[in-house]
Amino acid sequence: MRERGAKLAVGCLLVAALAGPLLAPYDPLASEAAARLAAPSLAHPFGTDQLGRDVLSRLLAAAPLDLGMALAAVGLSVVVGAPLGAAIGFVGGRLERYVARLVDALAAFPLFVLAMGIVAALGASVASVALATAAVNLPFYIRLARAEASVLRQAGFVEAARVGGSGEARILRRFILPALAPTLVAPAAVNCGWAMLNAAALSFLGLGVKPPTPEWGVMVAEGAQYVLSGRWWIALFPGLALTLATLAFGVAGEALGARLDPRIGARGAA
Amino acid sequence: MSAVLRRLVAVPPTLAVVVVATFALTHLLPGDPAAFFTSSPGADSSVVEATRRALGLDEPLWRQFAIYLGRLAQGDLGQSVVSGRPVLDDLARRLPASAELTLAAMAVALAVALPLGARAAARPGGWVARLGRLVAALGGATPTFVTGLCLILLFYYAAGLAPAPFGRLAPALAPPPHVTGFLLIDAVLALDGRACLDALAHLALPAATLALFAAAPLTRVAQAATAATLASDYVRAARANGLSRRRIALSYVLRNAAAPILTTAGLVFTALLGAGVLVERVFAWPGVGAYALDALIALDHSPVQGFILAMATISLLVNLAVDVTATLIDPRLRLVDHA
Repeated sequence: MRERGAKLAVGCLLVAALAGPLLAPYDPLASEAAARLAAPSLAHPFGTDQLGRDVLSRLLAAAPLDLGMALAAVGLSVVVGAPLGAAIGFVGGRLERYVARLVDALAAFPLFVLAMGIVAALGASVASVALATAAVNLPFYIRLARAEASVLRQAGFVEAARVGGSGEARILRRFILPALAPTLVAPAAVNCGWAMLNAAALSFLGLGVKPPTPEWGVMVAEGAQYVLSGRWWIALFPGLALTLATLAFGVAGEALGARLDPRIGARGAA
Repeated sequence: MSAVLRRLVAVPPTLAVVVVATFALTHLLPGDPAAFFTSSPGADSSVVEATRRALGLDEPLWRQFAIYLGRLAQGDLGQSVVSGRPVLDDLARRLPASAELTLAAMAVALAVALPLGARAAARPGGWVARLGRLVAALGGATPTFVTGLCLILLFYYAAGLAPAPFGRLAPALAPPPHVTGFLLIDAVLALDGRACLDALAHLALPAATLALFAAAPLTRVAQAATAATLASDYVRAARANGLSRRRIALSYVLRNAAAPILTTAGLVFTALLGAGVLVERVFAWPGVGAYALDALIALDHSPVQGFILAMATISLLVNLAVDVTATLIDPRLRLVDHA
């Protein structure tokens, strides 16, 4: 049951990300002056915005960007954070204690505020939104990888590799890092949803992706003032897309976790 | 070394990292503060140069940092170009608005999440448990700015119950005399019933928006912590010994579940400081988040620096207080080395 739901969720995400723009019935940038602020109808299922652009088309056109930014940000923080955390956990000792304490302290830092500053410093662009999201996400992966590597350090296969003549760097690269993957995959999938919301929030504030580029956060920002007069479709359909995509990432992550951890899997099946 | 002491010792280095990071970050911000201060971009280059020297911007970076530290030590956060006032004054004037919103949201979230989570743990299959899962899923997946807009649509546009989502008080009403800066408390102190009700009506939607965001992790942790204690040997022993349900709930379950819930509450508070910026934007709430956002868009460096520093410091202190309280409640935490 859970597995089916997760497959469905991942399928929807993939279709939206890969084929979204192709499915759009209209040009997402073309404005139709006669159909400004039109309510949802057969011609425009999600209505039109203040410039007469089709909301559904913009929504679909934005899917690769929003999902892509999330995946790029999470990918970047995994690629940088996991080896860093693994190395620190593998070496251990005083370095590990200091880094652990620093990363713990960062957890008490308002990360979104930091991301705002980073985006402003880098300039408003898609790349800087992804970079800022990845940067504030880094401590999460350093912490995960460090804790796990710290345990694996004493594992039998590490000892065996050392006896077999592998150097420390090789053990880290060939034995510790691959062994970390199962621990990281499920949190990373759930984390994609968080990263997407973070990126959209930055754009909503006008710091990230700029209009007229279709992006869900930008679309919510553009439609926000029209909610006051009851023209909700401009802001709330992209908002719904954000929520559904985040839920999908969450369901996918949970199913992955259940599959990789037999203890959770048994409970889920019961 | 006791856990509390160890926690205290870690504060100064963390604060130092925060100060260095904020300084570095704001120096990466584009824009030339000197050109800003001379107001017109086309000002004579010699004037800009003179301003730059006056601001100390021609000094090497390490000297600028030393000057910054010196000013910081005197409580000087610099001057805002946009408002023309010291940043410290601006922040102090706007902080009560943000604090009122954040604390109200936190109180509502705790009042909803704790009973919900505890009840869900006591009856895992019941409708309360299902409601708890719904709150946790929706609160975690819906961006705060979308929640806020949904509430505006429902309660302002459709039901007409809420006032227009602009600010803390209807423009027609005179704000109560400033005592605490919290409009609700000030209005009560001034015995101004109308202002009090109006402030409450303005506060309701933004606070509810932030509360849903905060309630999601709190419900989850309240449920998990309660479930763990209910399944423990000591609760089973207490039951077997015939202790009353009330006694078990208060002195066994509550006390053992309190520490993880408190720790999560501290982290949620930190997240609220960031989410507050979004909610202040949606509801035109005149808080520090809106101030920082305006400054960030205008590339006004000092307010941004001051805001990040203030938020980080508040967050650090709150989480410190939370950790110390958790250690006092749960003596087991004193034995755990966090490293």
